[in-house]
Amino acid sequence: MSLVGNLLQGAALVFQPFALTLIVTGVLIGMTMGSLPGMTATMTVAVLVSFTFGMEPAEGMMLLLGIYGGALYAGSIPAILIRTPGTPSAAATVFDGFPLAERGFAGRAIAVATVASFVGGAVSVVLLTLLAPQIASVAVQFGSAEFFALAVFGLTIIASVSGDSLVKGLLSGLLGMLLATVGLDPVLAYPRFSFGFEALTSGIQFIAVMIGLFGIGEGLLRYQRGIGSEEVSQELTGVIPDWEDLSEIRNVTLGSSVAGAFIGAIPGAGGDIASFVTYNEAKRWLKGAKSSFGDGDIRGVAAAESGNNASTGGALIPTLTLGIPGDSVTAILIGALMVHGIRPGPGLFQDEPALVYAIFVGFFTVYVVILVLGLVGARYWARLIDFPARYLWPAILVLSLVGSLALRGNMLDVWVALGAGVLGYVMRVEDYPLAPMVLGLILGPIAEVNLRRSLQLSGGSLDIFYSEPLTLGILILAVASLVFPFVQAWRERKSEPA
Amino acid sequence: MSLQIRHTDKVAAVLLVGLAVGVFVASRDFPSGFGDSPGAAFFPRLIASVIALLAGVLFVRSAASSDARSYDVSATDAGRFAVPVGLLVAYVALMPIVGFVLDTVAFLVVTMRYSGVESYSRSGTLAVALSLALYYVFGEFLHVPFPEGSVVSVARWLPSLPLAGVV
Repeated sequence: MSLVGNLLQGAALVFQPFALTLIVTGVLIGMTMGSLPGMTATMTVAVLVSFTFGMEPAEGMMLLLGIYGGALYAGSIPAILIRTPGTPSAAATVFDGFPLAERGFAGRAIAVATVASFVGGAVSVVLLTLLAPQIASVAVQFGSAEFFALAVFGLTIIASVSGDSLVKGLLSGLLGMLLATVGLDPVLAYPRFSFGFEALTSGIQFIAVMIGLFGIGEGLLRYQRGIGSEEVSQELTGVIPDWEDLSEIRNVTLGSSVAGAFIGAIPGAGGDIASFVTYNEAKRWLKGAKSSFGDGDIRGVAAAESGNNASTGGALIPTLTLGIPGDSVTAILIGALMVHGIRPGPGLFQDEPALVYAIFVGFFTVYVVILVLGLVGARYWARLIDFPARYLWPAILVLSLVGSLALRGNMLDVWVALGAGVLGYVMRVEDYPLAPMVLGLILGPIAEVNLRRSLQLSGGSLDIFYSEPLTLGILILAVASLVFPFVQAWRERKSEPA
Repeated sequence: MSLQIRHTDKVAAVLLVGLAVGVFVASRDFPSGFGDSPGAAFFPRLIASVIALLAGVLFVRSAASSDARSYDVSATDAGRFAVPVGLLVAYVALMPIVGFVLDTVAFLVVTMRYSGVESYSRSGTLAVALSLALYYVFGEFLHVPFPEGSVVSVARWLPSLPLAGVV
């Protein structure tokens, strides 16, 4: 079927009253949570994913994509108003957004952030729609050696970009892979590490681990550090952008959107990295930006916001085409699909084309809803910033545990989520990035099955991994991603004045 | 009074090596594969070996570093972690005994109080409202089998929603 035909098929699933209601609900929830400092998109999606288990896969995706986009956008509101990014992705928005607010232009900054977020998201979804089917059509011909190489590459790249320490990133990912080996062996169906517990034979539910890591772990960290709320002193008026501002941000927004989408497509490089890169590149290339960026230049807000929102569509490219999540949120989306027996990867485009194209159409619609609700309701989201956290965190902890219980109605999953929460807290305190562990949980079974299948095919020889140029190329990229941080550190040391 | 925790990277490295050894011990009886294909222990042992190797790197790097990380943990700090964890453990452990609804109401009231909500009437109202909302959304709409409670079962007295034909 042609692209247009597929899009129409997807649109038929999206433009239903219930699906549209879910999109608007998801965006509202995402914007509400994103407006609250410290509530990340990942945490919100992890805590609320269980609500989708009883829905059709496409409907569930609409809700989750709405939350994803809404939370990522709304993180800019507290970043601009109180210098505290609602989500890590909005950290670069602070640099110019807050100085604008200090000068009394908070409404103007939020208007620019809203338009830039819409353009970033919309451009990335268009790129996703155009590129993903092409990548999937190539990937569908991959054999077990290529998939093993891709799993290794996914793990090494995420470990190298998602934290300050490569070793800790790799350890986090490998622990995730090890956790994924609990349960039935995928080839011999032998129960591994179940220690006689019947419930462990079916393995550890990785959604329960994610809920624990991102929901409960974050909650424990908040309680440890104190759960105070911030006051907003500004009255917001006039959040509709004027033509002059739109004309000024046009080029930087489009450029940052394309760059942000490609950065987002790198596993592990989420909105935070995308926004910092696009902000820095805009500062480097735009006329007069070196002196004006950081003092309240609307182009700085546009670069950061279009970059981080564009990473969302980019992150869906490896998620849908290769089954390798682009970031932590897309890892949870994979989990949500797997609950319905659907495994993302190249086969998804052949087996579930309506679902794939519904995701494309639905995500574009999400950004249209964000544009409308952002411009109309920014002053209301701004009021949420000082909502007392003392009511919120107890509810989030309960939702996390109920969400894990909803997976199978099994108390083991609740204990797993609780254990993962404590582990997530310790990892956060000790600077172990969480994203590689999540990726390890997903990539572990892919890596194991394809490694063992490859070795079986080659009679135990490792030739199979370097006889094909594509496999070898992916493995070289994996090694390069491990070496790159050391080269970068060496260059930084060299450029520092003695 | 506070407790100083030092050399956390070294402690983590030792624990990770211990985990790797544990994987080798626990997988010693796993079946081997057919012919040239690796057995059930192959992949976990491969991962455990790399974990042990990286733990060694972490240990050496920490030993060579002059600014070893250390924490001063006061009784207040410890309490801020231990109390929420204790409340969560109690909440999960008591759920099969007192049932979901009562357990959730109690957990929310106590946790809100700990979080700084002083009015019991406010926290109680919110706790009852959220517990019932979750009970109906998950229990009735999404058919999640919540623990009934072996001693007390509030759920038995709650009316079912008229959802026939909806779900």
